Amino acid sequence: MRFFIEKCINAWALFGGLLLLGIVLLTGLNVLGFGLGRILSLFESSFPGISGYEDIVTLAIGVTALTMLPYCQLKDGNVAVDLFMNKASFWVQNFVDRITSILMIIVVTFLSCMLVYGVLEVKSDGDLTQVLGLPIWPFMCISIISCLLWLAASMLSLFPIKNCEQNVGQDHG
Amino acid sequence: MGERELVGLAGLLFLFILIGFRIPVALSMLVAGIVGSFALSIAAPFLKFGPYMLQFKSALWSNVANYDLSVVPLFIFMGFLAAEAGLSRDLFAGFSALFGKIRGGVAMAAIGACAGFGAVSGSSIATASTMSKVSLPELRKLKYDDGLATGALAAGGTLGILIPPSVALVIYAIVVEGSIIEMFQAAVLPGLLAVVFFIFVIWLRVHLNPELAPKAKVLSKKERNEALWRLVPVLLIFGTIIMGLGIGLFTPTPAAAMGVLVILLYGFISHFFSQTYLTVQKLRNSILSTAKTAGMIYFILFAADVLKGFFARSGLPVALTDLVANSGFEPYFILVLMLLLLIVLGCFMESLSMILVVVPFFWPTLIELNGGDYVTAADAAFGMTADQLIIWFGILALVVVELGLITPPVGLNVFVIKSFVPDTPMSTIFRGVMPFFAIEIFRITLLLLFPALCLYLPTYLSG
Repeated sequence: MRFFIEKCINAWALFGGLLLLGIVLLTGLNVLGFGLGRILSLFESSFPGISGYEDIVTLAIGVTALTMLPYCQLKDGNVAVDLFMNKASFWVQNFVDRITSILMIIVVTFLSCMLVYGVLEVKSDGDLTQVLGLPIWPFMCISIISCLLWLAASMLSLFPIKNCEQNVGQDHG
Repeated sequence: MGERELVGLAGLLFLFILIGFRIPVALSMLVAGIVGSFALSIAAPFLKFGPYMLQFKSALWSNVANYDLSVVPLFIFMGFLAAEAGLSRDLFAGFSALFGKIRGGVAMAAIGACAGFGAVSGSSIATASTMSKVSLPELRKLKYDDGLATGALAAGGTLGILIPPSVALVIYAIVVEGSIIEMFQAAVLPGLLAVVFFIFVIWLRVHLNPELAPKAKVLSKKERNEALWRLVPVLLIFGTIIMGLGIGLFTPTPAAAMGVLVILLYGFISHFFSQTYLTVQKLRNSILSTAKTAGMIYFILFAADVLKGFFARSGLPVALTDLVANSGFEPYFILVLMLLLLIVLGCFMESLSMILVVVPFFWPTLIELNGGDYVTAADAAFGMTADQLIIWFGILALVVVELGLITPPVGLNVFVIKSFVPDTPMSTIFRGVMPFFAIEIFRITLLLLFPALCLYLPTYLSG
């Protein structure tokens, strides 16, 4: 089960990476369009940039950012400050780590539930993007998957096992 | 201070206790913000908790679906791609070919490569770690003194936070609602000053004690030409991004996206000629590394927003501003105190979280001390407008945060370097860092005395 969840989180982060690459390509096309537009304006002609570019990037980056949170949690990437805990006994360290995991689970569960309510509200309000008029709720819906995986990653951190990275390959962070 | 402000103060204390117990900074901020708001609703019943909680329905999404912040994962991705595509290696090899003949030249090359790589990575710890991986083996092979080699890399790593485009500059500009481009422009001269000073320190140390850096072996003409040939595209890529941003040709998001695109194309095309550049596996590694770092940053940004909401509701920043403004101390004295506090915090805390926690408290105080939002430069305590103060203080704050990264006995960069040279004692690394630490103090003094070093370029470029 653990192996499956880790695979899913990895794949979800890679999906986020693909979206990021999509933004990169879209921006490349947009810059190219602007460049051509500038050149063609010399000949009293025009070539438009991508209409609603900022709308697309905003939605895509929203989805992308949330796909990264589960992977960061899985790889223990959230920064913490080790002021004196490294000098505490193993028992105390273990206890604090468990408390941290429980807090994380509570917080992520809360955020996930609120996001579901948020999606319902945005859908019923019919919120659209400014230029393209795209509905926002389907993109928020995708982010619910991110929150669920984030919750799963938080739960995994409650039951750490040694060398769990071996299951999913190297830690690249 | 009223009851609300006291709850705010208790919330701040609670935050530091949580952080002290090694609870992740973002989680600590979030918990302190929510628990604090609950306590606030008891202390001041008109600040109801229910409506406050309902804002979380849209808070997470609206926080991440933000066009301005799209630059963050793109810059991080660009940095990881540059490292995976071997650009950091080419930078170091190229600078070594340029300066290697000089005694101490390879350490100077490492500083130059740190500056170049710092520009694309935007993170001090990532710069220190990547450049250590690339250049420490070479410096040790050439029998450079361990203190000089590790000290130069720890100091060189700090350039990542300041040399534009830097993620920390972007976040600072967003927190204080300033211009990202102007922050980038303002960071150029202080960043270059750091490079010059660091190289000067290496030259001086080697001049006084030539045994610290034996003469490097002379490269053959073919090796030298090859290294220089590889340096050209790297400098072109990095230079175009920095110059494009500096003169306002690109806005940050397109600049970062184009940087990623160009590095991708360069890495894949170069791989056909030499099997040491970008592969699909390396691209995958870059994506996963980006996910880990960007995920951490987005969580901190969201949590900082929640915490900021709590502090604003408690009225603590306003109360502290009144307290400091009426204390009768000189504005410059208070500014120096703030910078000293940032140095101390910088020893322990990650720079981004520190900016997000501390700057919202410092910023209104400084504005008040300066004479308010609409004061003219002639009437202002610091002799500059509020917009200029945003820039000047931002650069000063980031420079002192950098200093925290190499401050004994806890500088984070030093620990990063140590992980690459486990056989070198910590005391040797700190001994090597001390001359750089001293020159950094001198640079901060210069920036404090001559704000024009930060303000000249944005003023000149905005016409």
